[in-house]
Amino acid sequence: MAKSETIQSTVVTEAAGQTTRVPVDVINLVWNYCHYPMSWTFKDGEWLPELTQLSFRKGLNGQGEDGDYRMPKMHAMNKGGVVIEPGNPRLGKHRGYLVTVPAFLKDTQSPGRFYCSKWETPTVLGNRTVKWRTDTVGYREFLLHLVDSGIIEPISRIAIEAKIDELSGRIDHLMSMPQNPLSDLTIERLKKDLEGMTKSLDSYEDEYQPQEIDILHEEESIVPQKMTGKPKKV
Amino acid sequence: MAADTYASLSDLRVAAYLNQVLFQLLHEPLDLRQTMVEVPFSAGAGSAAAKLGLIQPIDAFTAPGEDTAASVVNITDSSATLTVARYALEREITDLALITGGPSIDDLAGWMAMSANYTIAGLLTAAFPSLATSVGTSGVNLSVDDIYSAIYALQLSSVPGPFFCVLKPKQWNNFQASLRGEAGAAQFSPATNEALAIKGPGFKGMFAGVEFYTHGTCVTANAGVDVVGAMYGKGCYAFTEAPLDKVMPLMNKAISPPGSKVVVEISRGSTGAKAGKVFATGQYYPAVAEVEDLRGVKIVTKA
Repeated sequence: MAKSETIQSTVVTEAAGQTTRVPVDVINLVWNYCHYPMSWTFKDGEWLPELTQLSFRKGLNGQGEDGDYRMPKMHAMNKGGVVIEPGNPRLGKHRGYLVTVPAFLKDTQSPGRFYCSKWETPTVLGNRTVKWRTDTVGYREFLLHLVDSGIIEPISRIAIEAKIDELSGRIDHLMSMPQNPLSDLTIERLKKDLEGMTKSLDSYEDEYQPQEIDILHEEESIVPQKMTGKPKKV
Repeated sequence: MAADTYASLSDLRVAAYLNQVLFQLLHEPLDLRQTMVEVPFSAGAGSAAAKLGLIQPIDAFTAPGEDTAASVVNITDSSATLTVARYALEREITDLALITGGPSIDDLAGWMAMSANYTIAGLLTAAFPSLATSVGTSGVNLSVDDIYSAIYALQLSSVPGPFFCVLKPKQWNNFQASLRGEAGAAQFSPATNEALAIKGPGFKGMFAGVEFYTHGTCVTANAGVDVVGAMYGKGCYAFTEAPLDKVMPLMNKAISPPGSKVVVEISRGSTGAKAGKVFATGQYYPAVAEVEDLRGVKIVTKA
């Protein structure tokens, strides 16, 4: 198992030259990025994987006192998840995406470490207000790299069609409601997204071909085919 | 001579006296165990891990023909694992602090039970991102549509009710804002005093048959852009708490708050660095596991 890397991140405060603890809701929660096959989002004309954070904590999903992360990882992988370890060499320059900042729990003031991605930077004002800024360009680059490097498989036709159905239903619902300028803008934005999603499906190249099934020998005649296509950016 | 005043009797007055009632600071009081299935832990069974066997009880009959043998249909089974781990919370108070006022050891023990609720709720919310099914749009505030999407997703998998929805307070605010623009039959029923007494603080009310709760420990996603709540049916998550019955007799003095599996071990040091101090250490052995992924859906919306 590749060794995870965490580096001390730098907290920016409004007081020049002063480093402080960041007020957070959760401390000391180690995690790795994880991707499930149906988790995708359509942004600026292309499909981006939507990552979740697989948490590692003793007592959670089979992780015991020995701190072995394999049980929760297996649990995610059994559901089709791909766990992206921070030390994976295929991440290239994005390796070591998991960093820590000194933090304290908002409610109890207990000190600890907050594990975040390297694209997040907190700015603390006073001792209670914190603004998290995200380097969206860097994060997007990371997401695209995950697909290009083969760590995550490209989005499948099934996922695209499911997202199109979901969005169509949402637009239909909004259009059936009493409309106002805000809902008009929302509908317009969603329709643009739908158009983009549909175009990406039209340009989808895959090698899937429907098969003839022998009814009498059904089990032997069906050979699962792997879809290897990739939608083009619209 | 002038009258004796409050200011003139300064030797007989103090700047401020300590009110006997302790007011509690803002904290997360919600006990989310009621949304999970409790699995009793069998102490002495030989492992810290409890394996939960899952089985599909039904299968369709086939019609093989009047004189044809039926094919074997294998039983579908699965499992989930609850592995307990030690969690502890220690307080140290000097003798002089105890002599001169509170909090008392009994107070500390009671608050440790609340801390245990907070800890196990944190385990549950940390498990939300592991759900494979997701609703909501990254970077967009939660709306009523997202709640309905979650309900539809659970109904598609034939998940029986009741449904529980645990949101980050920000998501709850967004939901309320979105509700203001809703018209139609579905109405939000805020928590009544009776409901709060049963379900505890943190219960927000019911909408479309779903019980709503908020908890501050819901984690973030997508490089901090979003937060992750969840909607799930009973049976999606299970928890267990190992009893400390075998260990309690070995403790010098132990308090077990009523209705809690936490045991607060009290000890006192009289020499060295521990001299003149009372130690109250809460010992707690919880575990939470996702039992069946299809019974839950995560709600990922803008932080």
